[in-house]
Amino acid sequence: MPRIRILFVLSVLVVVLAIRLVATGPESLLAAPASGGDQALAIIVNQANPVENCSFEELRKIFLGERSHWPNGRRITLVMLDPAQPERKVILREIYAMSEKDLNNHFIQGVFTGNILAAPKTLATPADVRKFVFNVPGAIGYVSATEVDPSVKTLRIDGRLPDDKEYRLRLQPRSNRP
Amino acid sequence: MDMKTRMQIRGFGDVTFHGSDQKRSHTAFSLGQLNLFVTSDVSEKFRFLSEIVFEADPSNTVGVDVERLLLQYSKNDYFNLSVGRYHTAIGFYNTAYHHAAWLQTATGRPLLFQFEDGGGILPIHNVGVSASGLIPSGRLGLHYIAEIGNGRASSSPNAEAVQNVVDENNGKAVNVALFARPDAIRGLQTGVSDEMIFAAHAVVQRPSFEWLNEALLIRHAPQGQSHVFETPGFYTQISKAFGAYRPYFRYQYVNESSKEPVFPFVGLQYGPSVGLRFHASESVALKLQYDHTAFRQQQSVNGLALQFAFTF
Repeated sequence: MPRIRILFVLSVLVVVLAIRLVATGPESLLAAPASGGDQALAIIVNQANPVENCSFEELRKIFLGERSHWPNGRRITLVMLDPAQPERKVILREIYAMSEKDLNNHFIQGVFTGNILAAPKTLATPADVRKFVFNVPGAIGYVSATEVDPSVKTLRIDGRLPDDKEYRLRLQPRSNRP
Repeated sequence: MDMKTRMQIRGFGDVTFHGSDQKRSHTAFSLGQLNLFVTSDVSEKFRFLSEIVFEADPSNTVGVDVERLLLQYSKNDYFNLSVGRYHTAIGFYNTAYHHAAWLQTATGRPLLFQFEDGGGILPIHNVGVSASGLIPSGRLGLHYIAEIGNGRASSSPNAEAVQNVVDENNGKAVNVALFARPDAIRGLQTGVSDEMIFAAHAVVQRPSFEWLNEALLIRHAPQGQSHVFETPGFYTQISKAFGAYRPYFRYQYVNESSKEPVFPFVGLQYGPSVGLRFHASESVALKLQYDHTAFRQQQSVNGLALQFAFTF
């Protein structure tokens, strides 16, 4: 009886592996799972937004408030996760190159001069960000790539998506990456 | 419409203790400007912006001024239109810093950019229409600003300088400015503007470092006179942040002819200012500043000021 049990468990494992192989290709079995520190951030926009790709410099201008409209004339509404979230630290490090205090001052001064139309909206969770981007046609935000669902569209940055090895926006600083 | 109308108010204020070795001057605590900055997204394309300022004058009387009042239409990044009372885009400082001491590194504005009611020689405010936006120029980052408004009153030195409601003539003041923010040098802005006042600037502004440089040539051609009075002026200001501390240095110069008919009391003024700004919190700054100002045929003045500037 024990032999039959072992054979049964082995058969189930083989079937599961075979299904995964057919569904995702052989790379999925060889690739090591992404460690928590190497998670990528996805820049997400509304599904109706015609923009598919954006250069990193353009993205920086959008996040700084130096660009306030999409090419179709729709006003850009930037949404950020609140300061406690690790994803926000990536945005501050990679895009703004600023501290929280400097970022706050940047938007106070920008809105005050009229150069920036509005400070970013801040939300607590990735689900809130997704929901906001889903509901607001001109919205742009960011979530961990694992949090993306079909309700929103992931922007390519310099032609790259979060699963690309050369993609810039990752939890781990570039200097610490292998 | 996916944006709700939302009014936001931010306040700025400052209090300064100052003194100098000028004859007949006294040390004093001075209330600065209490500034209520109000914005509202009227719709996706229209926005309202105003600065309502309460301030005391040398007679110790507190008054209220609407320093900026604008309805802004934002078509896209290339075309924005504002109507109302605005800060003229002459040079850099006037549109980068308005009526909030907390946002400024030093305790006050450079001599060249003093407000009209504080003896300033530039038309800081204007009432009219302003268009601005990007010029397609790739990585050069060119921007334009074009303004037309009532201009500054000139019929009498005692008249309110900003013609808010009535214009003394049909002529309108026109100002055109061009500036570049190139991608290659983050924080750099260079530009020129012209309105009978030629202004040029080159500034680098980063969170921990700033270097502001501006030069102006103001020309006055009084009616009935063939002589054109020219007033040159400049300032340079540099600062660097070290944690919560930010030492700064400014040198400024303005040289107006003693025969200049519009502002005969400005004359020649020049000298350095040295200061230290300390961020007591994210919203409160303490500034200690020493000024040395030299004049034409007058004794120079040394001043010291301690300012508490805050936002709320």
